[in-house]
Amino acid sequence: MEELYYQLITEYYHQTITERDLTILQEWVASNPAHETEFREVILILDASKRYYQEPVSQENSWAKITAHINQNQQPVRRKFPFAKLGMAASLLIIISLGITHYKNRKANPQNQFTEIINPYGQQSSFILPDSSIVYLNAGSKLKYPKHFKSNKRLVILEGEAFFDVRHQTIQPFIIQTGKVSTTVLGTSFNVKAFPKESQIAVTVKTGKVGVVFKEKNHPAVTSFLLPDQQLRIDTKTGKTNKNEISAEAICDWRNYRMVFYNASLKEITTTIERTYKLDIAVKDPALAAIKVTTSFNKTPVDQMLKTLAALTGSQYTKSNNTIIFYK
Amino acid sequence: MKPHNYNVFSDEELLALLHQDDTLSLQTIFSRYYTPLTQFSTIFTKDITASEVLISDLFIKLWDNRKQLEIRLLKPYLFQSAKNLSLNHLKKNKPLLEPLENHETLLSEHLTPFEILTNRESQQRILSLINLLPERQREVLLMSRIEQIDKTNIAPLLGITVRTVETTLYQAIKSLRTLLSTSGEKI
Repeated sequence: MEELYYQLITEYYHQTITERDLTILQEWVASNPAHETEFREVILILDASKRYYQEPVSQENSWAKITAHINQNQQPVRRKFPFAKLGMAASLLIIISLGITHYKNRKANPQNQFTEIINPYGQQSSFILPDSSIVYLNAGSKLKYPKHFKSNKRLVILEGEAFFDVRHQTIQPFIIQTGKVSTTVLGTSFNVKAFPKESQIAVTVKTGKVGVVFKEKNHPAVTSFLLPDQQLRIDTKTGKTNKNEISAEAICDWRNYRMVFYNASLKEITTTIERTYKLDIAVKDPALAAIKVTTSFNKTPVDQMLKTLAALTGSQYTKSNNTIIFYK
Repeated sequence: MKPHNYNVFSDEELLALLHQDDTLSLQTIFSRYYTPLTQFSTIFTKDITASEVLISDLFIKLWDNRKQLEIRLLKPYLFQSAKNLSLNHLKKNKPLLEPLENHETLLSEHLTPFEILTNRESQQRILSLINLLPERQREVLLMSRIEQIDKTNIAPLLGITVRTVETTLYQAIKSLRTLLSTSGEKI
């Protein structure tokens, strides 16, 4: 077969063939049964050789590795805490006041250095922990973890919101401490939302099984187990817990600037937007702030979101630079 | 990290942003090219796990050197780097022989039951024969299967002219047809 026909068949396969060339090809194929066989064979070869390729399976992990590397080199955001110094940062105070014994009894040990990642408003980041688990940390959030995990447990301290993809290690449970609530897993992926300013902690499971323990002094510990697409909400003021079914996919998708609100107050929604995009949003009227709406945004530009919220609550807003005010 | 739609930016616009320390542009380049670069790398390494690691390193290097590098065109730079990294990797590690079983599972994942009945054996045979082709023919054939690169990209990667790419592709297909018919199976 002449090279010309190979070229035409290839162009036909890629759908880049011109009308004129298609006619030539069709005439050639029709002129001889052998040509039809050759045509079929070449198509099969072009098709089969595409299947040489496998789909990459680690794209997310690869990106997390790259982000971790980038963050390593951005000094202002990352600080190291030599534990022996007992620097009175807010997160350390929380640990001590809860009386977690293994911290009280720990001797000054230069080996046990901690790393703290702080995300200001408007900045999300992701990184890899010493055990290769991956963390996606939301804006306005902090995560503290040791440079080397203890042999019997992997403990991290979170203030804010993060999505964890924890590597499975049977003898070494992974524990996320958020105030009085600790979440324990062996190897799963889940979202923890625990902003100190809010009086609610929410743990949502994407894969695997997660145990959540709520322990207050002088009260017995309360433990709940969560399966995928289940969420536990704990009111940190009253200690009341609430378990419900929810789409984990939607809850964990803040990493892609997707926000889903089920019957949330305008105040709650504007607080989330403020934090994610580093804005200043005021809702002066308490009645307006309390109006509840259900809506979702997926990579929506800020102006569009504000317009939608105004429409849903029957209100208006003014915007100048990064300051927004909602009013009736 | 304000979400604009960076996907509308051209490669060269993303390069300019990268030069200004914009991590979102790196992420966009990553999403755009991670899969084709990884697959391209497996032409040499024959090991997708190794290739995924190599390509991650490529992006780390790209970020680290974003100010020093004078890249005119992004795509040729990325694929050329991928080739260099892959060949270096081969110098240190022996390439894995692809067991035929891999292709079987691959086929059953992608084909409908009808296609499996009629084409499976032929496709499996073709895949195993590709590895018997002369190296240059094999490379050209496989590279031409990656959507993001065409013969004008393949030519400089292999140090040959576009015309030679065309004739080599023709030879590769001809060789496979010959191999198929001499191996006895009618397809």
